[in-house]
Amino acid sequence: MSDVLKWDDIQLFGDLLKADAVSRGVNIRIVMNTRFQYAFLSLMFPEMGVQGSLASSIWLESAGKKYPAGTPEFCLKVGSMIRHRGLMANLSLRENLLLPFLYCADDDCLQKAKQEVDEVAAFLELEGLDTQAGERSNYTHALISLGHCMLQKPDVIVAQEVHVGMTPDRFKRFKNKTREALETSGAGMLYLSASTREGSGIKFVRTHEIVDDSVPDVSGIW
Amino acid sequence: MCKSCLIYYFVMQDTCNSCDAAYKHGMQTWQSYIEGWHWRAERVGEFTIYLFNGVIRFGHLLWDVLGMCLKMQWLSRPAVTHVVIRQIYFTGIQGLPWVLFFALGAGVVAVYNIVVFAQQIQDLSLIGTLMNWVLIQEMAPFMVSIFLLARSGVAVVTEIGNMHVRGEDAFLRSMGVHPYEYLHLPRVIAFAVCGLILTFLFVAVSVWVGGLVVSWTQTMNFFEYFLEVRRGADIEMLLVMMVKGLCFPMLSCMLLLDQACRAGRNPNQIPIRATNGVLGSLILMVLLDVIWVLIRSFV
Repeated sequence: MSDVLKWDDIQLFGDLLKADAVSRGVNIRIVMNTRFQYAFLSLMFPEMGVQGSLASSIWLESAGKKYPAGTPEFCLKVGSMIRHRGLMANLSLRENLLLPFLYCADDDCLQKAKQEVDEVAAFLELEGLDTQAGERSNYTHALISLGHCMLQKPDVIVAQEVHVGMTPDRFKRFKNKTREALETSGAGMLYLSASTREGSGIKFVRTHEIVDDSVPDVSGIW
Repeated sequence: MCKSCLIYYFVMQDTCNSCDAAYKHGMQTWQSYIEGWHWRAERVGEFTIYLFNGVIRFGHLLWDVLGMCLKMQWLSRPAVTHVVIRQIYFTGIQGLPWVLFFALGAGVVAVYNIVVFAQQIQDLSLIGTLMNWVLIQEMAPFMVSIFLLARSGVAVVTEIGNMHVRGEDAFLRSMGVHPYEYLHLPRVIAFAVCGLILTFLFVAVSVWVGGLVVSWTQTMNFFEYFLEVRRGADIEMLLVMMVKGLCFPMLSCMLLLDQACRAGRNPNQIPIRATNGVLGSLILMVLLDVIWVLIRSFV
């Protein structure tokens, strides 16, 4: 039985986000501005031990157990692809890919991930795996995030628009790799986007829109 | 108000022009005086709240990190143990030549001066006592802690501050990695362990090389010197040195980490936080030492 990411009706920034669930093969999109996206992400992955009242409205059901958002189990079981939050600058690319496995004290998982990491890196066309990451482009951050998801094989991935700011050719490559990886793994996705025309190429079952009247309409200024 | 004005007031139900101006001027002076005191009270209040919040935040950090350390789960996590080893290497191994240099300089000079002073007042029994009180209990833990602050402390604030600016704490959380366990705990362990070991080395090098210098300059026979040092040494001295050598660097590191986390997403805050952290740590060490002395003098 696959993991299911669920949430109750949530009063989010003056608008109602209706109860829904993401499971394998089900892609759902929430459209809201970037500031709200980060606020929503901080509900899902809050500071450890600091779980707000709203965070308890989001949980993961796995093997009959319920893991509220923000718990270490939740974070380990839900894949995440957050914009420009894909790697640690002081680790090598290999260490970055293996970080969740090096952290969770499971030797079998770690050995399995170590065997697969070269294959994943080859698929992602990552070079210089053993060099220190340092400052990297949005594209590398996105690739490492995708690499994490490929190694962890979660049933549900929470993704923000990681492709924003990529050059067109890199965006095309990243889009193809993401589509291929998702088709192989069959993971469901909760996609946070600022626009319904985000261009990710993913087919969504449903789209929830969070409209905020307090944000001034600046379209047309430029 | 003058008598005529009082009359003027009763007759006209008002004050005369000159007295009205003086009254207004007096009121303005009084108002600005009161505002001045309000401003001072506000600053004192703000500082008190700032200090109180800082103490609470520091207490939480201390509680969380020590709790994680004692739970020992970090030992089974290769990601954390790798960082611990790296931090011990950076703080302890790479810092060792510098601590030895300080011991050979400041420590040996202190020992030599103590011996010369004891000889001048013709009381050799003071050698052990002074060595115990000045060098082992006070100077060694302080020198090592200040060295660690200057070398590794600034690096800690800069590194962790930059991680926060780049949003790596959020990345760690999204991976299910506890930032305190992965970022803070290894640094605190490295500071505590290296602080303790380096303090021991500082004392050992100062006492031994100091003894050799004293005998080489024919100030005193080495064995006689060693006998006096041995006479002044006791187990309490060792315990105090160990507690200070462990706690001073550990608490300093926690204060530095607390400051580093407060940099937020603003890179301009990093140098400010580094300065605050180092100065705060120095003040913390001095305060702890004063408290220690007061406790000892009363108990």
